[in-house]
Amino acid sequence: MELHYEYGGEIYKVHLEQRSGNFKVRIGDKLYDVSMSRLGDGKMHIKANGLPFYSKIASSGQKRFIFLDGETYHLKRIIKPIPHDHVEGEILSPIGGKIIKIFVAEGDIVEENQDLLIVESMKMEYRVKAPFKATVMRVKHGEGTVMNTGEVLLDLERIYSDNQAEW
Amino acid sequence: MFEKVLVANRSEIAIRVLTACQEMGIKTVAVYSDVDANSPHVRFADEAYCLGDPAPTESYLNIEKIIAAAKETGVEAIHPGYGFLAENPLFSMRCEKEEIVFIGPRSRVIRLMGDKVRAKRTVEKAGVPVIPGYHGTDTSTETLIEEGRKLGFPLFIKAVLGGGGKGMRIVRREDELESSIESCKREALSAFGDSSLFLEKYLARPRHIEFQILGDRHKKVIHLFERECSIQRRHQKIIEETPSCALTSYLREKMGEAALRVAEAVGYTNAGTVEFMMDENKNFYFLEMNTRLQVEHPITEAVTGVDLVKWQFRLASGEHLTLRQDNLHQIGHAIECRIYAEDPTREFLPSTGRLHEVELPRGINVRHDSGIETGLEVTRHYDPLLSKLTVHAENRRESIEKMIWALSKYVILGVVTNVGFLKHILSNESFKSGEITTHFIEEHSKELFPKPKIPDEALIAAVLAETIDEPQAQVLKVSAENDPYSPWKTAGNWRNIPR
Repeated sequence: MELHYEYGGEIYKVHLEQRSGNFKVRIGDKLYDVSMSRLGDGKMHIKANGLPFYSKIASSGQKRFIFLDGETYHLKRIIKPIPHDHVEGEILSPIGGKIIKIFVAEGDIVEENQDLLIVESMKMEYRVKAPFKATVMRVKHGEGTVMNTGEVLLDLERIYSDNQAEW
Repeated sequence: MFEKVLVANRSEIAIRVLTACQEMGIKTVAVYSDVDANSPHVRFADEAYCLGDPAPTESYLNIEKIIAAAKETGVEAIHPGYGFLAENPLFSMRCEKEEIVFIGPRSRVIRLMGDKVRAKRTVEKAGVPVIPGYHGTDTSTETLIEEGRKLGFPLFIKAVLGGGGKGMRIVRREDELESSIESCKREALSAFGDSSLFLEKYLARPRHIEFQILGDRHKKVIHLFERECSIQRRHQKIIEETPSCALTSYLREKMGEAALRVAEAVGYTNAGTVEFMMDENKNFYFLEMNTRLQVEHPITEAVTGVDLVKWQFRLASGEHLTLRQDNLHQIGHAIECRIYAEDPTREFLPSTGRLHEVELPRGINVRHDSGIETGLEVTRHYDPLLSKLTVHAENRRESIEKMIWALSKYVILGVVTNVGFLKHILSNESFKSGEITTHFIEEHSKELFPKPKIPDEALIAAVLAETIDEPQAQVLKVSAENDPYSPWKTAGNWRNIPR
């Protein structure tokens, strides 16, 4: 079977084949002969092409948390690869928290890096800035609204200046 | 000594203080908000009192509720931990009025040191240098802009009642001054209930070095040496160590004396910390005094062998400070790392979620002050500090090696943490050679924030985990039959005795 994971904005394809207790794993053009012993609670001793390592895994929904050699990797399993996930002009909340200040109104033209609004979380202020020059199409929430991470705050429409069209 | 004490805090520091109480035979009361009902600190105390609504102002910051809890449970004293009400003079005054002992200095001293401008004036009078800046009483935006221009850039804007890295901005250019003043005012108002600001000259390549103080009610004050806390992000410390490799024994003595002068000038009692900034030429300046137990107190405990929290209780109950300055020594070297639920690659944004798995490193001279466990929910209501890892070894090099080892055994699955980032810092050559300043993270951002790479091993582990996803009962059978020496064979029939 072929599995897809997202990590650091990139999609990784991993091919897995089970063969009488052992596994063949292919990542890109690399092939691994893999065996494992399960230690319970998501802990595994794994041997890939003869090299042993230890890993511990937990999952929640499509999220995969992988502890390996002192580092923790946060992956997302992608069941059906979505071709175009992110809409360019959607400004998402970088953090769960409360909108305490909105600087712009619908119809405003904002410059790149201009402050759009401030989200407060754990008594710290996070300034959400415009990623590019744009028109504010929609302000989705008012001041005082509590947002979750990744919720859409604003819709922007990018403005391309005439003399330097971006390719 | 007190019979019964309430700990007005949560998470790791509540547990730290409760531990000291239990060791001393003091009965304990914990407080908690609704979302913390399942937190370890609640179970750790003899009694627990629910404060309700998780909003800090309705729970851990709510003076009325904490006082009501103290009266209802009949405690003699309240330990505030750090943060929340620890440096709120209204709270300590209220305790004094209600005849409940506040574990900390007198409210007059908290008020004085909490006003960063009055504190500077007092300290200057005692002959200790302070960082130049604007400390005037007029803190209107117009005046601050004018004074800021005079002082020159870069400069710091700070809240008069500030602390803990909040209500603080660095301004690098004149055109950022006005918006920074305004946002700083808002943050100061929401965090400290007062929007007054002052300005401070920005020191180039400074180190943050602080001295631990203990004082009794009989005018005796000692210091327990320094802690270097230069490694900071968002103006908050993340790695602390002692001794500081920037100090010679001569400088240590001079700074220790200055710290004692500060404490004596205000009649300081209980545990406190005098913070200094040190410039490239090793000139030191008073920054502020923290009138409470510090987050990073474990490293001082490691190298001096003194239990600071127990002393807080003894000093608050009026006992004499029997520690002698000339008997105190720094043995070996200690480092503390603060483990935060935050994403270093996304400007240290706090991360929330359920902790699916927590496995703490266990080792020789590894101390763990933790408020977390598997299954705990990290919410957005409070500070994202999860735990503190402290190691103690013979010297700085070994201490760094031990910390890198301990971090690499530290498993937290479910939220993003700074564990990997801390390891990058400790492994950095400049850090190892002791070339550190409060700008360390910005100056080394290239090495400290490598492009995220995932090794094939992690992907292999991920796919293998999918194959065992289906829940399988994993009952461990005790196979006594095969082991002739098993104690199960001779144990006979055990049964539960009904009470």
